[in-house]
Amino acid sequence: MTSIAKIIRAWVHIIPTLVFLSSFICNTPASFAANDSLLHLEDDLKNLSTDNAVTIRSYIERLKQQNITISILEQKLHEGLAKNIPPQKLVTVLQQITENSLWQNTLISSCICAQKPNTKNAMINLGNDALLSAWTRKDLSAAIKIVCNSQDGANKLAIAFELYAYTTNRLRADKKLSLSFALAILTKKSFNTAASNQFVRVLQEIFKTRGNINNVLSFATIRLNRGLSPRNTANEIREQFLSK
Amino acid sequence: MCRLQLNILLANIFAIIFITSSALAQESNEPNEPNEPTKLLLRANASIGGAYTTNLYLNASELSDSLGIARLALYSNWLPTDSISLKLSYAGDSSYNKTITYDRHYGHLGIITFGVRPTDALFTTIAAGGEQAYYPNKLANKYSFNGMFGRVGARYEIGDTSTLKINYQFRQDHFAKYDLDNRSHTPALQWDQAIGDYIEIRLPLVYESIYYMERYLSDINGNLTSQRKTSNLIKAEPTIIFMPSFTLRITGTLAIEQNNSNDTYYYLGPFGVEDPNINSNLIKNYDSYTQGSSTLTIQWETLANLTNSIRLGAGMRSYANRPAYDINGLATGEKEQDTWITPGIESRLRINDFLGLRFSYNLTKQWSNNALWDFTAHRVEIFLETWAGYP
Repeated sequence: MTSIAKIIRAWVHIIPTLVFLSSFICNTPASFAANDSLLHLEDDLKNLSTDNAVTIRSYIERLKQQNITISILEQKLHEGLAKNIPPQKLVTVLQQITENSLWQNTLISSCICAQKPNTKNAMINLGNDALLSAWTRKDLSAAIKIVCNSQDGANKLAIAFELYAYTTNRLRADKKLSLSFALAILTKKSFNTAASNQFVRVLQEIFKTRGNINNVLSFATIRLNRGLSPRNTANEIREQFLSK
Repeated sequence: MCRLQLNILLANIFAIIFITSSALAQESNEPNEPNEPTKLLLRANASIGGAYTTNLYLNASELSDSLGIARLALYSNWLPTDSISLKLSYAGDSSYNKTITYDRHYGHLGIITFGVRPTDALFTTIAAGGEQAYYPNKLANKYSFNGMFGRVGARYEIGDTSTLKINYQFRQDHFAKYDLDNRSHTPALQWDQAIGDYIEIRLPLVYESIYYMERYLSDINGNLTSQRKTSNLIKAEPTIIFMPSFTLRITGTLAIEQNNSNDTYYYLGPFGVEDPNINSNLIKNYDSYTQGSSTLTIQWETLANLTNSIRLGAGMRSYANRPAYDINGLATGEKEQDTWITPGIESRLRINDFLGLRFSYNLTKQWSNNALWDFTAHRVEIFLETWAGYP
């Protein structure tokens, strides 16, 4: 797999996490979910031996000292116990998550995208997902740089994020395909709000008389990954799916 | 807003659960490159509905009628490689007038289009098609025609913000029972330009030259000459699309067109008598005129499945030769001048993944110094639409 593909793959995780965390910004049931999660943590720790529980609490403390979210650590613990993963293996995974989180915290400390705590934590959570999926820190560093080292990168991430949310929620596209599309377009130099709007105009027209837009998104993603510009791809979609 | 956020939340909880469980199970997530889309795309659209209009012919006669309308469209697109496409399409429609049976008709349109992408930035097409319209009413049967056309087109991407489109169409229509056979040449040019984040400008320019093989011009005394009728239309329609958000689109159009016809006598004749054989729906460009019009359309999504739009159009047309008549049919000595407004609304509801409902209302109010063309028209339409496709 090429490193670009790995980078794109890594970001498959970023956007849903960001979307998830964005819901915390407003008053939604998300806060209740967070409280539930804390209850899970205490219950889950009780299910471990004292040594393991102490070790995990030390990981939590280290993260909290750096103002890093412990949500992914909680989730992995809960899921791991539910799947009966051996406790020692689970502790090893959680240690890895902790170390990765601290590393990422340093890496993204100067990132414009991560100036807000929620965003920073979302990115760390994503990074942990990516690293647990046999990714390397090198791959993740490259992925972060794409969107993170400039205001332009931050803007692009926000636009791709909005595009993903719109295609999945309004146009009811398959989430995986929509993510693939958003990530493919994110890596394009000429991707901006205008290109995003152009895609939406075409997709809206297609959606008016289609069961779904999934095949259109696959088509667009492949064209983007093969080098067509966003504008060219949007026009190509219009040509192949709308014109008579 | 909260409903949207809840949807986002739920969607992403599932996404995170999926990701987390995969990671813990030491399963690597699959690459996000989607599978190669199917090389053959098939699609069918159908709609059935009705319209009620207070003025079918959009003139002072103000004949009202109810219409039943059915449409069917079939499309196939074969994409053997990234750079080649072969499209076949068929569209059929039928209009059943309840009162004015004279106007009942149905039609068929078929097109085959071959597309090639020689370079990333250039896409070219060549197409051929045929059209048939049939008027079953004995008196209207003469309007039945067969048309054939060929098109070539090219789309060229200039940088990341501009697109240039060039098209040319040749068409020939044959009226078996009527002297309206014609052939036309229609070159068109369009420049699309993104300006900033939220604005797209389109600048289309169309020229259409029509030659009527069977329409001989009359001289000033009313005698037919060997010269045939021609008309040359040029139309520019600059359009600005402002899209401040995905759910709101504002489109403004300013259209300017000029038609030059060499027939200054035939339509009205040298004595001011209208040719009774001319169906104005088939010959919209029979006279020389200059026209300016503008339209503002605001389209927004109120719900995920509901799109609404309101439109306000207005325009003016000045005829170069067409005389104006008063209500008694006497020439006023002026050339005809029309001014109109066309407000309208439309709503589209997507009922489910294979069914939609479309409703529209349009008002046309035209003021004219020619009493025949001074009118008001209301038209309401409602259509049930369905579609199916593979994949």
